[in-house]
Amino acid sequence: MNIFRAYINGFRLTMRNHKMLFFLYAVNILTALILVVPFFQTLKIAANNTVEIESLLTGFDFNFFVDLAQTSAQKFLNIFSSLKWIVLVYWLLSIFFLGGIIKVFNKDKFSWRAFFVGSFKYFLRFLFISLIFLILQVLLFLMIWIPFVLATGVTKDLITNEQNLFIIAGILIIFHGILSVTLQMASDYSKYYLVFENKNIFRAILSGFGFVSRNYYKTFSIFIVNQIVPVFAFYIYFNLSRDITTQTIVGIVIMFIIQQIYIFCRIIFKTWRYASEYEYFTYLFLKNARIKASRMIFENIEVKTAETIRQWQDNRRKSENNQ
Amino acid sequence: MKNYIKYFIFISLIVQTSHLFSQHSFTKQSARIANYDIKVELNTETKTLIGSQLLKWTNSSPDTISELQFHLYMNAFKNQNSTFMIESFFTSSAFDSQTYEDQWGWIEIINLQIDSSVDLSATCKYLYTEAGNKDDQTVMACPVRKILPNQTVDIKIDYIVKLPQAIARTGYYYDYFFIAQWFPKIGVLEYKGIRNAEKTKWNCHQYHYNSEFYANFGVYNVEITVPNEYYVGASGFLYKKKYNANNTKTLSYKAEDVIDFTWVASKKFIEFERVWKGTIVKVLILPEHINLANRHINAAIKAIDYFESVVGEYPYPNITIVDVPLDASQFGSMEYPTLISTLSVSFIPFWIKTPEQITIHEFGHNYFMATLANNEAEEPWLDEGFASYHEANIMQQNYPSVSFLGYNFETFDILRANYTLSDDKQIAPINNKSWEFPLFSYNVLTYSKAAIVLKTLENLVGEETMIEINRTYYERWKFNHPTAKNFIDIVNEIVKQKNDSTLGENMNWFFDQTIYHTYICDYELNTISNKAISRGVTQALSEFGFNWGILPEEINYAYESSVTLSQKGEMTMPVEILIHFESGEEIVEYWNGKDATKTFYYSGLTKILWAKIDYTDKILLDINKNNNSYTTEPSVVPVVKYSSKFLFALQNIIHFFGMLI
Ligand SMILES: [Zn+2]
Repeated sequence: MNIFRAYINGFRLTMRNHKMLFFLYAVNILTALILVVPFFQTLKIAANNTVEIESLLTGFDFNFFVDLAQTSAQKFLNIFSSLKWIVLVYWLLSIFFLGGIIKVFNKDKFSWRAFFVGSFKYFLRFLFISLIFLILQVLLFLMIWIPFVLATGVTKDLITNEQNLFIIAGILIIFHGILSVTLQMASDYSKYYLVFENKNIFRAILSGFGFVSRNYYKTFSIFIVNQIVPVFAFYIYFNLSRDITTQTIVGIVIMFIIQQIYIFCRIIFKTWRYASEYEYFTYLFLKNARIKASRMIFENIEVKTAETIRQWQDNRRKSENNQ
Repeated sequence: MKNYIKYFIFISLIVQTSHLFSQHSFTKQSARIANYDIKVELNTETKTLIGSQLLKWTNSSPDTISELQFHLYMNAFKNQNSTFMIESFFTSSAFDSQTYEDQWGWIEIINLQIDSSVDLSATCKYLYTEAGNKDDQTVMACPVRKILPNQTVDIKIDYIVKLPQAIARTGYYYDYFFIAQWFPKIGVLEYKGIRNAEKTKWNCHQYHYNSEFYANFGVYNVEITVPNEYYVGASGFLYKKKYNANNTKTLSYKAEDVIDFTWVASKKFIEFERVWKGTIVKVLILPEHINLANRHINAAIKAIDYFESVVGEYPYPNITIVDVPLDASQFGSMEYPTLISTLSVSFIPFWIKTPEQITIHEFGHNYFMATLANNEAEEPWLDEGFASYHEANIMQQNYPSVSFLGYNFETFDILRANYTLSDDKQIAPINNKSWEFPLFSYNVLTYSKAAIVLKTLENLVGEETMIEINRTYYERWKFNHPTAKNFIDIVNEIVKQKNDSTLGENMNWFFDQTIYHTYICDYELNTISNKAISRGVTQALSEFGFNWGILPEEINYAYESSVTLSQKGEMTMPVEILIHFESGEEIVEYWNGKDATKTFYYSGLTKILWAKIDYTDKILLDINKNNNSYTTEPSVVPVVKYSSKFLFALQNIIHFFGMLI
């Protein structure tokens, strides 16, 4: 299967499950609203009856926000510091629903039952895999950047001229990015192994690494294209957002709709990534399985044939002896 | 180096500037009390200087004196016990370990003779009374035979300086040398009539962590000997170059009517030069920042244009801008007469204007520090506050604030936020001596708050008057040592000429509150009330075409309205209040701001919609401008707008983390 095929099939698979996409979008906006509601109320109370807030309609007013600190600094800080919990909740939800996403991909038709069954069934094991890969990512980070920091303390040429430092850091960032993406891919494919072979977690992870290393260029291409497409989407969004004036409620609503479409697209892109990976994985997985199966059949035939011949020879010997 | 040869050729083709110096007439501009002839040799291996100086110093006081005091700034870096090191305990810019003997710096006087006397150096003592630190060796007092009023003496001093590893404006960084505060520098003998002095007395402070410098004007002739392969930049201008037998060269510099002399040496400098309105603007840039050379020059040119139009003519023939290695940022962003250091980062994008900002700020110090030579140690806001105020003006006039995804801010907004967001806005008054500022408050108060005090002053008196104040201050005090009081006197004088009744007899009230006290300014528009009366009658009247302005008083009023304001801080400022009525009519009220509260009453057919104190945004010191206004019909639309922005940001953030699974 070429990667183009994987994209097309992945896209079909994604769109077939549009109900799930809307659901995932709803999860995203509802999680975000947990903080937006108090933000709205705090800003409304903090603004009190000031005229200054009108300046926010025509643009950004640095002084308005600086001066909010005189009355409401703590309230806003509380909201911003809750961000970490919201991120954690959404991270866990993303792991939770991934099981459902894969399960639904495996069905011919979308069903909520399959979606939630998959979510519950794989959650703990997926969480474990994600945590292991999180640790691996942290280790990777330390392995690349600690030597870099140490080297700057030792090598005179590195620090006397920050240009060298930036160039080396730039190269390391690319290097780090590639390895980090590799880990991310291994994390994805480990999960597919877990679903399809019902392996234990560690065997699944090993298989995930094995799969990625055997098919590195294709898996990498699938991953990267699914990162580049959203960049174009952002470019379109960015240009649209610059042209829309948000001085009236109509403008704000139009802007809001565009923003939500953009977020929905991001949900599609993310699901599409899993779908194309899934297509590619199942294709190879099934192909291998078929080869394995046909080999088993062939071996069976051989065994049978040999046995038949032996029996036939035995029978012949017996009949000869009888004669 | 080869790569850069083309730049050298390019530059030397465009500008042949050496002849300009000969055209410049050097008339004596200052009192020239302390004049130095220095011969100094840099040993780049041992990081030492061997110096020999002849100081021609005049006792300008009316008294006979029998003691000389000198700054030995380098001894601040001698060990952990200097006042400087003790005061810098909280910062990483001080040395964090004493394991390398090599990193410390010091100065040792080998010989000190006055008018060919015997060596007096053994009789000199370190003065430590000021901070009570017996281990500080940054001030040296030498008993001498009587020096009569107006007598000029020849003070010959030989010394060795061990340069410290890059620290607080000076030292070495591998083969880069920034040589500042390096020679034994005589203190300032003040006497009644000079600044705030009551009697004849040495003003020679120890080197404090926060403090900068103070010195008399003079002429410096400095012969610098360095290895041949080093490029040198220095205060003043180069007038002679000699190559020596031992693979070294001797460069002779002259700086006239300056209070200090600083120089730098590096093997890597690349030189760029341009002449602007008779001033030679030179940049010594390191190869990794070569793309920024023109940005520094252009910024300096913008600064020259600005200062010449609002303050006065640039008083020196040239300015040298020196680049420093990023890892030795301790050398950067520093000002010396005709030599300033900047701070650059490779690959810095064009829209980040910090290189320009630093160059402009430090250039400003050639007015406020080098020419208007205030005592930087005792009144630091007179140099830092003024330099920051003019820097922000130049930035706002020349570099429109860049918008990043629609978010942008102006330089004065940042300065204001530095002050209004500081933990304790009343921690100290601006006019503190530099070493009296509590931890971390020095920068906020002497730079940021002082700059917004000056901007508020400009807004109150008007831009034109402010320019006149600046010009008068400069004209009257250049090549002298002004104090805050001298500046305030000029403000009072000019403002009185303008005869603006709203500002009062003089501006002492302004400086008293902003410079000498820590008062908070916070005006608040508490409420607007609109009481409707006899609606029916007025409705009918208005239908007949009456409007509220021409209604006879005895007829029923439609609305009795009022606006109530208050002053939440102790600071009083005259303010103008804009009152906006439903009919579209607007009234501007004036309030001297002296009472705690004030109510304005109106009656008429229309009601008040909103009102705003200080509606032209003059008072940058007001810590909360949001409560300066009040509307009876607050709009929720902006809240919706920013909440939806916040929602969108959050959705993207959580989505990003949701992909890392
Ligand atoms: Zn400064």
